[in-house]
Amino acid sequence: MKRGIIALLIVIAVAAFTLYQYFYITSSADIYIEMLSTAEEQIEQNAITDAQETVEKLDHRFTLGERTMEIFLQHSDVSEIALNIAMLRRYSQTGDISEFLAVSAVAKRQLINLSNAQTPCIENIL
Amino acid sequence: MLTIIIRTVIVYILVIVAVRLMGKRQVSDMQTSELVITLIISEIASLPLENPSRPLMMSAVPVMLLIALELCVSIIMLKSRRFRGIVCGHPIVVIKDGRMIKSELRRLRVSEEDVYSLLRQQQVFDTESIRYAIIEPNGSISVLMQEDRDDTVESTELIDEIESVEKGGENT
Repeated sequence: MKRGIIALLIVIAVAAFTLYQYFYITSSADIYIEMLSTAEEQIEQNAITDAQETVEKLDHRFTLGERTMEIFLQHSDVSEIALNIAMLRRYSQTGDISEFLAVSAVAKRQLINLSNAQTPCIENIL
Repeated sequence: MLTIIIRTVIVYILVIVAVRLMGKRQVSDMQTSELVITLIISEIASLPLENPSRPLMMSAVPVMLLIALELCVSIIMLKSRRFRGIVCGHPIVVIKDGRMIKSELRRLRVSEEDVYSLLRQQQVFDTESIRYAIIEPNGSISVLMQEDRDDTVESTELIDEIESVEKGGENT
Protein backbone atom coordinates (compact mmCIF):
# COMPACT_ATOMS: atom_id res chain seq x y z
CA MET A 1 0.00 0.00 0.00
CA LYS A 2 2.87 2.32 0.91
CA ARG A 3 4.44 1.71 -2.50
CA GLY A 4 1.10 2.35 -4.17
CA ILE A 5 0.94 5.77 -2.51
CA ILE A 6 4.55 6.49 -3.55
CA ALA A 7 3.67 5.53 -7.16
CA LEU A 8 0.61 7.79 -7.06
CA LEU A 9 2.66 10.71 -5.67
CA ILE A 10 5.30 10.24 -8.38
CA VAL A 11 2.64 10.17 -11.10
CA ILE A 12 1.05 13.36 -9.70
CA ALA A 13 4.45 15.10 -9.49
CA VAL A 14 5.39 14.05 -13.03
CA ALA A 15 1.99 15.15 -14.40
CA ALA A 16 2.24 18.53 -12.64
CA PHE A 17 5.79 19.09 -13.88
CA THR A 18 4.89 18.10 -17.44
CA LEU A 19 1.81 20.34 -17.54
CA TYR A 20 3.76 23.29 -16.14
CA GLN A 21 6.50 22.71 -18.71
CA TYR A 22 3.99 22.45 -21.57
CA PHE A 23 2.13 25.65 -20.70
CA TYR A 24 5.29 27.57 -19.80
CA ILE A 25 7.06 26.77 -23.08
CA THR A 26 4.06 27.21 -25.39
CA SER A 27 2.86 30.46 -23.77
CA SER A 28 6.39 31.92 -23.65
CA ALA A 29 6.99 30.98 -27.30
CA ASP A 30 3.67 32.60 -28.29
CA ILE A 31 4.62 35.84 -26.52
CA TYR A 32 8.08 35.92 -28.15
CA ILE A 33 6.60 35.21 -31.59
CA GLU A 34 4.08 38.02 -31.14
CA MET A 35 6.84 40.44 -30.10
CA LEU A 36 8.92 39.41 -33.11
CA SER A 37 5.96 39.98 -35.44
CA THR A 38 5.42 43.44 -33.93
CA ALA A 39 9.13 44.29 -34.40
CA GLU A 40 8.97 43.07 -38.03
CA GLU A 41 5.94 45.25 -38.74
CA GLN A 42 7.63 48.26 -37.15
CA ILE A 43 10.81 47.72 -39.18
CA GLU A 44 8.77 47.38 -42.39
CA GLN A 45 7.04 50.68 -41.59
CA ASN A 46 10.49 52.26 -41.02
CA ALA A 47 9.72 52.82 -37.32
CA ILE A 48 13.27 51.84 -36.38
CA THR A 49 13.20 53.30 -32.85
CA ASP A 50 9.98 51.44 -32.00
CA ALA A 51 11.44 48.24 -33.42
CA GLN A 52 14.59 48.75 -31.34
CA GLU A 53 12.48 49.19 -28.23
CA THR A 54 10.42 46.07 -28.98
CA VAL A 55 13.53 43.96 -29.60
CA GLU A 56 15.12 45.24 -26.39
CA LYS A 57 11.99 44.30 -24.47
CA LEU A 58 12.06 40.89 -26.14
CA ASP A 59 15.74 40.39 -25.31
CA HIS A 60 15.18 41.40 -21.68
CA ARG A 61 12.18 39.10 -21.34
CA PHE A 62 13.95 36.19 -23.02
CA THR A 63 17.03 36.61 -20.79
CA LEU A 64 14.78 36.47 -17.70
CA GLY A 65 13.06 33.28 -18.88
CA GLU A 66 16.15 31.62 -20.36
CA ARG A 67 17.19 29.80 -17.19
CA THR A 68 13.74 28.33 -16.65
CA MET A 69 13.62 27.26 -20.30
CA GLU A 70 16.96 25.49 -19.89
CA ILE A 71 15.42 23.28 -17.20
CA PHE A 72 13.01 21.89 -19.80
CA LEU A 73 14.79 22.19 -23.15
CA GLN A 74 18.13 21.33 -24.74
CA HIS A 75 20.47 24.14 -23.69
CA SER A 76 21.83 24.47 -27.23
CA ASP A 77 18.31 25.13 -28.63
CA VAL A 78 17.72 27.92 -26.10
CA SER A 79 21.18 29.41 -26.73
CA GLU A 80 20.55 29.50 -30.47
CA ILE A 81 17.38 31.54 -30.02
CA ALA A 82 19.16 33.86 -27.55
CA LEU A 83 21.91 34.34 -30.13
CA ASN A 84 19.41 35.24 -32.85
CA ILE A 85 17.65 37.72 -30.56
CA ALA A 86 21.01 39.35 -29.76
CA MET A 87 21.67 39.64 -33.52
CA LEU A 88 18.22 41.20 -34.01
CA ARG A 89 19.05 43.76 -31.37
CA ARG A 90 22.26 44.66 -33.19
CA TYR A 91 20.56 44.87 -36.62
CA SER A 92 17.82 47.10 -35.21
CA GLN A 93 20.52 49.44 -33.89
CA THR A 94 22.34 49.57 -37.23
CA GLY A 95 19.05 49.82 -39.16
CA ASP A 96 19.88 46.84 -41.40
CA ILE A 97 16.32 45.96 -42.42
CA SER A 98 16.96 42.98 -44.73
CA GLU A 99 19.26 41.24 -42.22
CA PHE A 100 16.80 42.02 -39.43
CA LEU A 101 13.92 40.42 -41.30
CA ALA A 102 16.00 37.37 -42.23
CA VAL A 103 17.18 36.72 -38.66
CA SER A 104 13.70 37.46 -37.30
CA ALA A 105 12.23 34.83 -39.62
CA VAL A 106 14.80 32.28 -38.37
CA ALA A 107 14.11 33.10 -34.69
CA LYS A 108 10.36 32.89 -35.31
CA ARG A 109 10.71 29.47 -36.97
CA GLN A 110 12.84 28.23 -34.07
CA LEU A 111 10.23 29.37 -31.56
CA ILE A 112 7.39 27.81 -33.55
CA ASN A 113 9.32 24.51 -33.75
CA LEU A 114 10.01 24.65 -30.02
CA SER A 115 6.35 25.23 -29.26
CA ASN A 116 5.17 22.55 -31.71
CA ALA A 117 7.63 20.01 -30.27
CA GLN A 118 5.81 20.22 -26.92
CA THR A 119 2.48 19.13 -28.37
CA PRO A 120 1.89 15.39 -27.90
CA CYS A 121 0.68 14.88 -31.49
CA ILE A 122 1.25 11.69 -33.48
CA GLU A 123 4.24 13.10 -35.42
CA ASN A 124 6.04 14.03 -32.19
CA ILE A 125 5.22 10.77 -30.44
CA LEU A 126 6.38 8.64 -33.34
CA MET B 1 32.87 19.76 -15.40
CA LEU B 2 31.42 20.90 -12.07
CA THR B 3 27.93 20.58 -13.55
CA ILE B 4 28.65 16.98 -14.58
CA ILE B 5 29.97 16.15 -11.09
CA ILE B 6 26.83 17.54 -9.43
CA ARG B 7 24.64 15.78 -12.00
CA THR B 8 26.47 12.49 -11.37
CA VAL B 9 25.72 12.72 -7.64
CA ILE B 10 22.04 13.52 -8.33
CA VAL B 11 21.70 10.69 -10.87
CA TYR B 12 23.42 8.28 -8.43
CA ILE B 13 20.92 9.17 -5.69
CA LEU B 14 18.02 8.92 -8.16
CA VAL B 15 19.06 5.46 -9.36
CA ILE B 16 19.61 4.25 -5.78
CA VAL B 17 16.07 5.43 -4.90
CA ALA B 18 14.76 3.70 -8.03
CA VAL B 19 16.44 0.40 -7.19
CA ARG B 20 15.32 0.58 -3.53
CA LEU B 21 11.71 1.23 -4.57
CA MET B 22 11.80 -1.68 -6.99
CA GLY B 23 12.68 -4.09 -4.18
CA LYS B 24 15.50 -6.32 -3.10
CA ARG B 25 15.66 -8.87 -5.86
CA GLN B 26 18.93 -9.95 -7.40
CA VAL B 27 19.44 -9.64 -11.16
CA SER B 28 18.95 -13.40 -11.62
CA ASP B 29 15.60 -13.29 -9.79
CA MET B 30 14.19 -10.38 -11.79
CA GLN B 31 10.88 -10.68 -13.54
CA THR B 32 10.62 -9.58 -17.17
CA SER B 33 9.17 -6.16 -16.33
CA GLU B 34 11.85 -5.49 -13.70
CA LEU B 35 14.64 -6.43 -16.09
CA VAL B 36 13.22 -4.17 -18.81
CA ILE B 37 12.83 -1.25 -16.37
CA THR B 38 16.40 -1.73 -15.07
CA LEU B 39 17.84 -1.69 -18.60
CA ILE B 40 15.87 1.41 -19.60
CA ILE B 41 16.71 3.28 -16.39
CA SER B 42 20.43 2.59 -16.79
CA GLU B 43 20.28 3.91 -20.36
CA ILE B 44 18.22 7.03 -19.60
CA ALA B 45 20.19 7.91 -16.45
CA SER B 46 23.48 8.02 -18.36
CA LEU B 47 22.26 10.50 -21.02
CA PRO B 48 22.56 13.79 -19.04
CA LEU B 49 26.01 12.70 -17.85
CA GLU B 50 27.21 12.23 -21.43
CA ASN B 51 25.64 15.44 -22.74
CA PRO B 52 25.73 18.52 -20.44
CA SER B 53 23.47 20.37 -22.90
CA ARG B 54 20.65 17.96 -22.11
CA PRO B 55 18.50 19.05 -19.12
CA LEU B 56 18.68 16.66 -16.17
CA MET B 57 14.90 16.74 -15.93
CA MET B 58 14.65 15.09 -19.37
CA SER B 59 16.09 11.99 -17.70
CA ALA B 60 14.84 12.40 -14.13
CA VAL B 61 11.17 12.63 -15.14
CA PRO B 62 11.17 9.44 -17.29
CA VAL B 63 13.11 7.55 -14.58
CA MET B 64 10.58 8.57 -11.91
CA LEU B 65 7.70 7.67 -14.22
CA LEU B 66 9.21 4.26 -14.95
CA ILE B 67 9.52 3.61 -11.20
CA ALA B 68 5.87 4.61 -10.71
CA LEU B 69 4.79 2.32 -13.57
CA GLU B 70 6.85 -0.55 -12.18
CA LEU B 71 5.30 -0.07 -8.74
CA CYS B 72 1.80 -0.01 -10.25
CA VAL B 73 2.49 -3.12 -12.34
CA SER B 74 3.90 -5.01 -9.33
CA ILE B 75 0.85 -4.08 -7.23
CA ILE B 76 -1.55 -5.23 -9.98
CA MET B 77 0.49 -8.45 -10.42
CA LEU B 78 0.06 -9.19 -6.71
CA LYS B 79 -3.70 -8.83 -7.04
CA SER B 80 -4.25 -10.49 -10.44
CA ARG B 81 -2.76 -13.82 -11.39
CA ARG B 82 -3.95 -13.38 -14.96
CA PHE B 83 -2.15 -10.03 -15.30
CA ARG B 84 0.96 -11.59 -13.75
CA GLY B 85 0.81 -14.32 -16.39
CA ILE B 86 0.57 -11.74 -19.20
CA VAL B 87 3.51 -9.67 -17.93
CA CYS B 88 5.84 -12.36 -16.59
CA GLY B 89 4.72 -15.51 -18.37
CA HIS B 90 3.86 -18.85 -16.77
CA PRO B 91 6.04 -21.59 -15.32
CA ILE B 92 6.20 -24.50 -17.80
CA VAL B 93 6.64 -28.19 -17.05
CA VAL B 94 9.47 -29.55 -19.22
CA ILE B 95 10.02 -32.97 -17.61
CA LYS B 96 7.26 -35.19 -16.30
CA ASP B 97 7.96 -38.59 -14.73
CA GLY B 98 11.48 -38.60 -16.18
CA ARG B 99 10.34 -37.82 -19.74
CA MET B 100 11.31 -34.62 -21.49
CA ILE B 101 8.31 -32.79 -23.02
CA LYS B 102 9.83 -31.74 -26.34
CA SER B 103 6.85 -29.69 -27.53
CA GLU B 104 7.23 -27.41 -24.50
CA LEU B 105 10.97 -27.10 -25.11
CA ARG B 106 10.30 -26.04 -28.71
CA ARG B 107 7.74 -23.52 -27.48
CA LEU B 108 10.29 -22.11 -25.01
CA ARG B 109 13.05 -22.24 -27.65
CA VAL B 110 15.20 -24.13 -25.14
CA SER B 111 17.32 -27.10 -26.15
CA GLU B 112 17.59 -30.37 -24.21
CA GLU B 113 21.23 -29.47 -23.50
CA ASP B 114 20.11 -26.22 -21.86
CA VAL B 115 17.76 -28.18 -19.60
CA TYR B 116 20.49 -30.70 -18.72
CA SER B 117 22.79 -27.79 -17.89
CA LEU B 118 20.18 -26.22 -15.60
CA LEU B 119 19.60 -29.61 -13.96
CA ARG B 120 23.31 -30.14 -13.36
CA GLN B 121 23.42 -26.76 -11.63
CA GLN B 122 20.71 -28.18 -9.31
CA GLN B 123 22.92 -31.28 -8.70
CA VAL B 124 20.51 -33.45 -10.69
CA PHE B 125 22.27 -35.84 -13.08
CA ASP B 126 19.60 -38.47 -13.72
CA THR B 127 16.44 -37.31 -15.50
CA GLU B 128 14.74 -40.67 -14.81
CA SER B 129 14.58 -39.77 -11.12
CA ILE B 130 12.74 -36.51 -11.81
CA ARG B 131 9.04 -36.37 -11.20
CA TYR B 132 8.57 -32.78 -12.39
CA ALA B 133 10.99 -30.18 -13.75
CA ILE B 134 9.58 -26.73 -14.29
CA ILE B 135 11.13 -23.75 -16.08
CA GLU B 136 10.17 -20.70 -14.01
CA PRO B 137 9.28 -17.31 -15.60
CA ASN B 138 12.71 -15.93 -14.56
CA GLY B 139 14.47 -18.76 -16.49
CA SER B 140 15.52 -20.88 -13.50
CA ILE B 141 14.48 -24.52 -13.11
CA SER B 142 12.61 -26.12 -10.21
CA VAL B 143 12.82 -29.87 -9.74
CA LEU B 144 10.63 -32.31 -7.82
CA MET B 145 12.30 -35.72 -7.49
CA GLN B 146 10.48 -39.07 -7.53
CA GLU B 147 11.70 -39.80 -3.99
CA ASP B 148 10.03 -36.55 -2.80
CA ARG B 149 6.69 -38.30 -3.37
CA ASP B 150 4.78 -38.50 -0.10
CA ASP B 151 1.25 -37.85 1.06
CA THR B 152 1.80 -34.89 3.36
CA VAL B 153 -0.56 -31.93 2.94
CA GLU B 154 2.29 -29.68 1.69
CA SER B 155 3.34 -32.22 -0.91
CA THR B 156 -0.22 -32.73 -2.16
CA GLU B 157 -0.70 -28.97 -2.46
CA LEU B 158 2.57 -28.70 -4.37
CA ILE B 159 1.53 -31.43 -6.82
CA ASP B 160 -1.85 -29.75 -7.32
CA GLU B 161 -0.04 -26.48 -8.04
CA ILE B 162 2.27 -28.19 -10.56
CA GLU B 163 -0.66 -29.86 -12.27
CA SER B 164 -2.44 -26.51 -12.57
CA VAL B 165 0.79 -25.09 -14.07
CA GLU B 166 0.84 -27.99 -16.50
CA LYS B 167 -2.76 -27.34 -17.54
CA GLY B 168 -2.01 -23.62 -17.86
CA GLY B 169 0.97 -24.41 -20.08
CA GLU B 170 -1.18 -26.58 -22.34
CA ASN B 171 -3.79 -23.84 -22.67
CA THR B 172 -1.35 -21.03 -23.48
